[in-house]
Amino acid sequence: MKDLLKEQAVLYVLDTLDSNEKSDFELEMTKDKSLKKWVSEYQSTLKLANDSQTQPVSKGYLNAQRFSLRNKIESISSQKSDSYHPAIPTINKIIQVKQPVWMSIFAIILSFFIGKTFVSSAPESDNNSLDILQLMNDGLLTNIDIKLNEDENNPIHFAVHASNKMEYSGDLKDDLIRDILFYLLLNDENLGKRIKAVNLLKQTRLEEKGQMVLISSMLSDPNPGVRLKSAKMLQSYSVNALLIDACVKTILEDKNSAVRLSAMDILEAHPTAEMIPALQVIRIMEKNAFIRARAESILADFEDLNNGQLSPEI
Amino acid sequence: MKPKVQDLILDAKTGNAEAFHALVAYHDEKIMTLALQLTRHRQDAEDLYQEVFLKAYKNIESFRMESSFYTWLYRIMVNAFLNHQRKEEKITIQESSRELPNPVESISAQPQPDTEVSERINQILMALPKQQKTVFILKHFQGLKIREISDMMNISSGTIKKYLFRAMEKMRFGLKEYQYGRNRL
Repeated sequence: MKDLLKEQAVLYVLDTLDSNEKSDFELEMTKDKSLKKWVSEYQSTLKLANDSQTQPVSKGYLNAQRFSLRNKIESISSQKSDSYHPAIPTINKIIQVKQPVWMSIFAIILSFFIGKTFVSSAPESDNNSLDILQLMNDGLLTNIDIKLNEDENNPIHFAVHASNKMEYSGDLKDDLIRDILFYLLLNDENLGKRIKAVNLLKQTRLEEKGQMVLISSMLSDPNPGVRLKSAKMLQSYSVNALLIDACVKTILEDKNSAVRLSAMDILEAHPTAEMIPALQVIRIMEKNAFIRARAESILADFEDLNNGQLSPEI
Repeated sequence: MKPKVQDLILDAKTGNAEAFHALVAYHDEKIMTLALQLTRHRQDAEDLYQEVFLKAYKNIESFRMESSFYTWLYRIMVNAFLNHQRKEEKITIQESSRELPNPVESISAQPQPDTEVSERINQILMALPKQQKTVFILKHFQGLKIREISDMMNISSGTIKKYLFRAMEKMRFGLKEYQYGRNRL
C-alpha cells in the first residue's frame, strides 16, 4: 500500500482529517479491504499506547513541586533585593558613563534625597508608613505591589511583602505615596512596576525632587519606554541648568531616537549657548535625519541671533 | 481565556509573585502530566516542570496574551525539552562507544502482562526521534490540534503529519508482537 494512504489512515485514526477528507477516506476504505485492516492495526496500536499513559499526578505531589518552585522564586527575588540599596544602582549607572561634575553632585544629592528626604516626610501617626520608610531607608524595600483602589480618597494602594505584610493607601497628594512611586521608578527591576509608577506620577504636578527623579529615570532607566515617558514629563518643568545638562547628555548618548527627540524638544524650547557644542556634534554625527535637521534648525537660530556667526564662546 | 486567569496574568505581569503562584496552581497539573509524558522519567519531569515555571516567571512580562496561557507554557516546555534532548544527543555522540539498545529486538513472542506492554511502549517512545515523539505526545496524549502543534513547534502542518505517520509506524512495528498476541490482525 502506498505510504500516502497509510499516512491518511494514521491521520484518520488520530481524528485529524477534515470532514471532506474523512468522507473520501471512508469511501476509499469500502473499496479497499487492506486499508480497513491498516486502520484497525493503527487503532489497536493507539489502544496499546494508551496503556502507557502516565498515572494522574496527585495533589500532594503537585504541592511538593509548588513548594519547591516557590522557594526558587523567593530565592531569585532575594538575590535581586540583596543588590538593591535604593541609591546605589542609579548612582552606579551614572558613574559608569563619562560624566560632567554636575552628575556626581547630582548623584550625591540623589542618594541624600532617597536616604533622608523620605524619612522626613513620615506621617508619624501611621505605623505602616513608618515601617515602609524604615525599610526604604535601609534599602530593604522590595516586593511592592501596586493596586488602584475604588476608594476615591485613597485610590493608590501598596502592599509591601516584607517580614510582615504592610499595606498603605493614599492619593498622589500624599508625600509617602509619591515617594514610594519615586522609589519604584528608580529602583524596581520589574518594568511593569516602573511603567505603572511613571504613569501614576504623570497624573500630578511634581515638585523639584520629582524633577530630579525623572531626570535620573531619563538618564538611567534600562527601558527606552520609561526613559521616553520621563523625558516627556520633563517637558512641563521649568528649565534649569540641571535639566539642560541632562538633555544634552541624552541627545548625545541615548540609544533610542524617540528619547533623543524628546530631549531635543526640551532643548529647542529653551535654547542656551551652552548646548551649541552638543548640537554641532549632533548635526554631524546623529544617524536620525530628523534629529539632525532639528539640531541644524536650532543652530541656524543661534546664527541668526549672532549675524551669521555662532557665539564666540563656542 | 477565563477572566480570573486573565486578571492573575495581569497582576503577575506587574511583578505580583502571589498572582504567579496562583497561575501555577491553576495550570501545573497538565504541565506536570506533559512533562512526565515527554521525559518518561520522574526526576527529569520534575526538573522540566521547575524550569518551565521559572522561565515563565522571569518572562511573564513578554507574554502578550495573544494565545492562552497553557499554549504559552506548552511552548516553553516543548522548547526546553527539545533543547535538553539536543544537549543529550551531543553527549551521546561524544560517548559513541556506548551503543543504544534496540528496543525492537528485545520483544518476546510470548504474551506479556500489561506492565510489560507499558514498558515496551516507553522504550519505543524513548527511541523515537525527539520531534516525532513530541508531536505524537502532543497530538495523541494531549489532544492538541495539528495547527496548535505547528505554531508551538514552528514547523509546518505537513511536517507534523509526516512525523505523526512515522511515529505511528514505529509504534505499530514495535508493538506488532503484542497486537498479534491479542488480536491476530
